[in-house]
Amino acid sequence: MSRSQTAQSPAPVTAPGRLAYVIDDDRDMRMSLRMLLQEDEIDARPFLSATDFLDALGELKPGPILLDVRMPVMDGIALLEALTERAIRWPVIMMTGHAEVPLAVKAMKLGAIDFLEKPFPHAELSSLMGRAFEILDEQAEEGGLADARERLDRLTPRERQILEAVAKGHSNKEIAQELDLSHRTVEMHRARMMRRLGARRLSDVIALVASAAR
Amino acid sequence: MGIRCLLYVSESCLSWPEDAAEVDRMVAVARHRNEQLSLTGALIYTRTHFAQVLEGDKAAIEEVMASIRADPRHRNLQVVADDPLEARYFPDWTMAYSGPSFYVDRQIRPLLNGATDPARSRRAAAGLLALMREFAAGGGGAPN
Repeated sequence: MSRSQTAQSPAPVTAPGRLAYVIDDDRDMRMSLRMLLQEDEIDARPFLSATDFLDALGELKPGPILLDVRMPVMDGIALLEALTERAIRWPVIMMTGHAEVPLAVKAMKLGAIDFLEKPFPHAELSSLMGRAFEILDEQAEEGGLADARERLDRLTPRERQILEAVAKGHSNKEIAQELDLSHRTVEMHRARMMRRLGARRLSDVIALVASAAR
Repeated sequence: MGIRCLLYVSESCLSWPEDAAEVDRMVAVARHRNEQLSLTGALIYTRTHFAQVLEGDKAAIEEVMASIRADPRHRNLQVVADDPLEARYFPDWTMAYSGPSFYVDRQIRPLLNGATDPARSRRAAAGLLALMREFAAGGGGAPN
């Protein structure tokens, strides 16, 4: 087999969107975690320190955090506290050589989902990452629900009436007759209702109503 | 008569996801009964194991242990500490932790596999007790 063929072999494919943050001051640990996560088709974005992570936080999408306890300047517990203050509820998995009981319990009370003691079996990491992504999915669902309800609350009573009729599949003409309004007025309310809901298509409106009703 | 402290560990016979509701029922019954008998302590559940510490009169602990031993929701119950106690560590009886934590489970598991080395078992039991006290202190267990 020639060299060029080897070079062309495709890089391991990771599922889109499965991204975890690794915060550890130990370079070898960051590397090995990256490789372990890759085997589970999870991309790892490494950070050398808790402060680096906090600096980048604004541009990050929600993801599981693998967090080393012992780090200079800002340790893992301090970062957990900082995340709690910022109301960030992304699943955090703590890592350390040996977790003293009070430290482990403190981290878990601060919301960490578990404590990995190095060296840990790959299966334990995989299982925890699976749980972390489940938690994120649940949070996204809750967030979508709250968001849908909040947007529906912005509608005027008239817009709500029109929304209900639209969701039932009634045409503008039918709605105008039902509510004893002119066709133009219905069109106007309907356009404003869509704008307030941030919906571009009828299917967006129906999805929104469905998710708020759950 | 002085009070005692008993710690046991056991394997859960419950399966996910029905276990959550079952454990809730168990806790409701235990809380009421333990209050009647002036028993304090804590229970933890890790989806695979239980651990419970009970503090109080010997007779009350024995009465509760008889029913706990007969409970089909767990098996392989092992008493890992049973000692006289000068003062209670737990102000009441609580569910200290319920969830899937590997870390918490690791504090229980070594105590179930036979007491090969008594000194080691005692250390493990002391560690588990410390964990339960820490969870029960200041505002109860973890959210999950």
